[in-house]
Amino acid sequence: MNRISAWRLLRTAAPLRALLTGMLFAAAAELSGATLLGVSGWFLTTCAVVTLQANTTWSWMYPSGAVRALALTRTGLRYLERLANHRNLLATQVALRARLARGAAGLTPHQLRGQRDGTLLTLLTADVETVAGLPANAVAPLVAAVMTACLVDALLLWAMPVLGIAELVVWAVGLACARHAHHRARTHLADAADTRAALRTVLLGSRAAFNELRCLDALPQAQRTATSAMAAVESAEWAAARAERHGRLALRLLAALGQAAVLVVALRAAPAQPIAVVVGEVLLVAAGWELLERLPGLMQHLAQARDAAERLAPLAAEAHPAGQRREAVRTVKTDGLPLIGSPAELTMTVGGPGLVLVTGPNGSGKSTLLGQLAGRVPAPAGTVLLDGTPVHELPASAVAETVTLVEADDWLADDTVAANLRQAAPSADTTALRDALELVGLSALPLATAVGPGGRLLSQGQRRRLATARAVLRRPPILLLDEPVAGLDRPTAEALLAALPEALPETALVIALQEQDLDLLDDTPTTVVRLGRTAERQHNGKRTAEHVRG
Amino acid sequence: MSTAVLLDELAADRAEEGVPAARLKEWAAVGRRELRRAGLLRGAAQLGTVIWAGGLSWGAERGLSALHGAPVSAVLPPALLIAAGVALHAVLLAAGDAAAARGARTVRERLRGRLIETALPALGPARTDLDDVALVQAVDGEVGQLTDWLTHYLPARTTMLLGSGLTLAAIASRSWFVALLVLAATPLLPANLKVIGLGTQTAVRAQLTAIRTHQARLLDHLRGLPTLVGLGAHDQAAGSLSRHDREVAGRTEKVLRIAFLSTAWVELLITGTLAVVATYCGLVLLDYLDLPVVPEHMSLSAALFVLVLVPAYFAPARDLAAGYHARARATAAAGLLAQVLDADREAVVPPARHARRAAAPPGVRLEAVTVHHPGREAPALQRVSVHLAPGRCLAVTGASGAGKSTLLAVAAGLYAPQAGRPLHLLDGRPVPADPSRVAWVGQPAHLLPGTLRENLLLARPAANDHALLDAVASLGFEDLLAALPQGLDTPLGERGTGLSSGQSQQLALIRALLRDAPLLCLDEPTAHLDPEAEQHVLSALRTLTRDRTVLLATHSPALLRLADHVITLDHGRAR
Repeated sequence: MNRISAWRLLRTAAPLRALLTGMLFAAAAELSGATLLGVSGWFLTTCAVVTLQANTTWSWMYPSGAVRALALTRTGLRYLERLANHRNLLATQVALRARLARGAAGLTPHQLRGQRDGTLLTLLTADVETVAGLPANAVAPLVAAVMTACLVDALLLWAMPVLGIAELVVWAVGLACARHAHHRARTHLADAADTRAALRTVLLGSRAAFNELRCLDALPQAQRTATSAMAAVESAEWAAARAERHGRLALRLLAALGQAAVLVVALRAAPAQPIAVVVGEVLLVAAGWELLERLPGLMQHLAQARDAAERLAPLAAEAHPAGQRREAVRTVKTDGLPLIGSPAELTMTVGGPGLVLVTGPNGSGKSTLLGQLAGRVPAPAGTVLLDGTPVHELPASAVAETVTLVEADDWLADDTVAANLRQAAPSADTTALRDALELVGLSALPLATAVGPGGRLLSQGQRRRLATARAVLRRPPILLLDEPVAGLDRPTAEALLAALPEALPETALVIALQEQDLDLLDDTPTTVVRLGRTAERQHNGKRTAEHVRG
Repeated sequence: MSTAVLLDELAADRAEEGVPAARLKEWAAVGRRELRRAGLLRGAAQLGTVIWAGGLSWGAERGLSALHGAPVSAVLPPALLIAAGVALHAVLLAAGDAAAARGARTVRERLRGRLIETALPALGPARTDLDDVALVQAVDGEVGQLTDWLTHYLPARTTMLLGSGLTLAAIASRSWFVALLVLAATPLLPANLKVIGLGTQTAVRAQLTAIRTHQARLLDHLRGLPTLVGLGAHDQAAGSLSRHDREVAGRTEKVLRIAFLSTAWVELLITGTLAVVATYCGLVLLDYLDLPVVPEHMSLSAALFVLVLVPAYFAPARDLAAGYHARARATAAAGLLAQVLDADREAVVPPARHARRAAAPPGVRLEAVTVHHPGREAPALQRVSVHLAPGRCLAVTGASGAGKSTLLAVAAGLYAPQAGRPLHLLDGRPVPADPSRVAWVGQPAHLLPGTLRENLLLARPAANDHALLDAVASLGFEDLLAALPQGLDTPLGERGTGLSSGQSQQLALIRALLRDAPLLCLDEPTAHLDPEAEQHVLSALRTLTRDRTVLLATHSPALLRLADHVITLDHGRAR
């Protein structure tokens, strides 16, 4: 990843013309600002010279008019620049966010789960804002500063070549100084990021083991460890800030040299320049240096955008190979999948009509197994295969074509019941939605009911059944249900379990049930996976996963 | 600049009031001295600009006299003065920046220290209302958000008063009329980036709400991402989200169009004043001006001097206006920080005299204990009563989230219940539960970075290697040390990297043995262990539980056999 990638990312979302317009406005505004200062100085001096020489042919009208015109132009251009750049920023932000949100489907289910809320929200807000703000905050001011500096120097070269060259040299030294300081600051900032990560680890680790540490009276020591990690963060950041300060100081001292040089060189040259021109030149150079002083800050912006683009890169990856729809047998195969707390391994194939029952006591790993089958929980390489491909290598959207998993506390959109159901079947009519609700015993729930954030306006049982109904509407080849009847009364639970195979005759159902719920099941399952026997018994019978072929 | 923050500062033109602002002031007090020094140094830096202007005007004057045949070499002193002025400005600014950074560092360090103390209180119960992620975010992110406010906004007022005052005095010394002109323009400068025009304030507020709503939608979408992708509904949902985003952005743009007018006004004022001063000076120099009261004569040097100082006069005020952005961010961060720092602080229990190894193990009595975790509707424990005789072992079982760990923490005195009393019985005498009587083994076992020896010494700082090896041997863990070539000197990374989960669990058990506390709390000591490791732990537990009162939370049937009594928890109730 490099700077180009931030720019390239930006270019996918913003048209070049808009970017150029913003830059043009910025450059023109800065130029007219510098010219304003230069012309004012020249104007005053000329006025004095004219009076001294009693020159009556000189008209003050035009220069003075130019001063006022420049002042107005500058303000107007600034306003236009802000408008153009912010319009760009907003449009780019929207486009980038949309693109990256779509790109999330290309992540594997496991990455998706790992990237949940906090991280992704930061990516999609702060990082997108940094990248989208690149033209307004870094590129446009940079272009404006460099362009102004170049024009000022070209003017000097034209007026007096020695002067132009002298100024060019000083500017080149300034640029080198700024770059050097920037690199030093970046190194220190990288250190700071490492120490920050250490601080996070110490804090989270100590919080997780609070009870143990408290009982050991070891909290003062944990505090000291955290405090010294914090001190390391501060001193790394201090070093970075100091490098930047020194860079700025060097630039400002060079500005002193540059301005004094203009005055001396221009007035002591063989044919000395007219005093009015010299004053104008000094003021122009001063304006140029003021712009160059911003360099360290702009470099910082560029580096931040580069980092942000690097973080966004996985989401921005181009279209995933979901296009090639594999119409092969839709199967999930496990091949020697190790089970938690057991020496046994699971080898089975799920595909085609049938019912696989996963059971075992609490904490025996039922949810983990289902998560592994759907690729959301990591499994050892090559042990879970979807149509022959390891499931953790596939993008989530490709897995979704075969497997639908309903987790124990699945997410519901903060919307109506109907909207939630339509996520699975966008074109379904009301009758189809009502049928699905009836299947899970929710026929009394009106379609227009709002479910609230996280579904909190519904009871837990209602949430679970709504999520199940949603998955049924999707008619997936393989449906994984994690304890779909937990917390339901007996008749409802029995009806639900009986209705599922009827509603989905083509689907391979994998249902996790607690042991006490096993007798709710009418049909004999094709396969039963029993998890979590006692440690003692594992030594007698090596296999805990029994296959009961029905 | 973040659009939301920009709107925020437009809407909140009186953000100075309110709780976060007061807290900010309180926190900044530690660095106040350095920050004031920064303001003074930056203000004094304007002196450099004044000297620069003096050098420039002097140089022009000398250049002008060169027209009458004076030697050109006379421009050397003015050139030196110019350089000296710019250099003085640079050095004073750098010193000011350094002082500001020092002040900000002091404030940040103090705040972070307080946050760490809040997170890991050495005494009293743990703050359970504290979300770990929010806490780390506060230490890592939000404290950093104050930096700009501390370094830029706080010193800016001092800088403005001193810097602009100096510049104005310098201008007045050469031309009182220009000083008057500049002073007259000052009140027109908006003290804040207020929106020009009536009614826009409401529009800005509405827009801010719309942006927040969109953020909430975005968060909801991201939470549901695995489900949405799993249902194939992702593209559609992303599409509707970005439509909403575009709509919000469109309206934001309209509001900004007006908002930027206020910035444009400030600039117009400054450049306009500059143009007026330039024209006035020019006319005076040409002797064209003939007005009553207004001075009609001025030297070139005076004219140039005042002209270049006009923008310098306005610069600090502009910096101050830019600082409002930093203030808005700091205020937002302060709200979050205050939440972490002062959520209901309980009275800290005075340090108990160290009840080291009591002669006999204590009994445990919980009387109708009820615990509500903040933010959750259902209680974690509901009127649970337990009576455990000294030296016996009670197993607590139940589904995940049924309240097992909470029950253990309450019984150990680590957590104060909202109702009911946790008691320890010392020789039949009830005393309040106290963690100093407890050895705790939980999941994950916590290992600090350092050597294996240092981690064991946490439990008994005075122990020698001999005692440590004895403890290892008495639990039958000789093979643990045999597997580590460096033995007690084995370095452990963050969170015990370099050890398997079975090995770190063994270490935690050795620590519990070394601690030699009469009450032992075991929170799922074998969860996530493979059967072999579980066997290992099990046989060690047989030794460890001897002569101790034991509370054990577990699913494992093998461990349940260690218990004399078993209670099952279901949604916080004993069954």
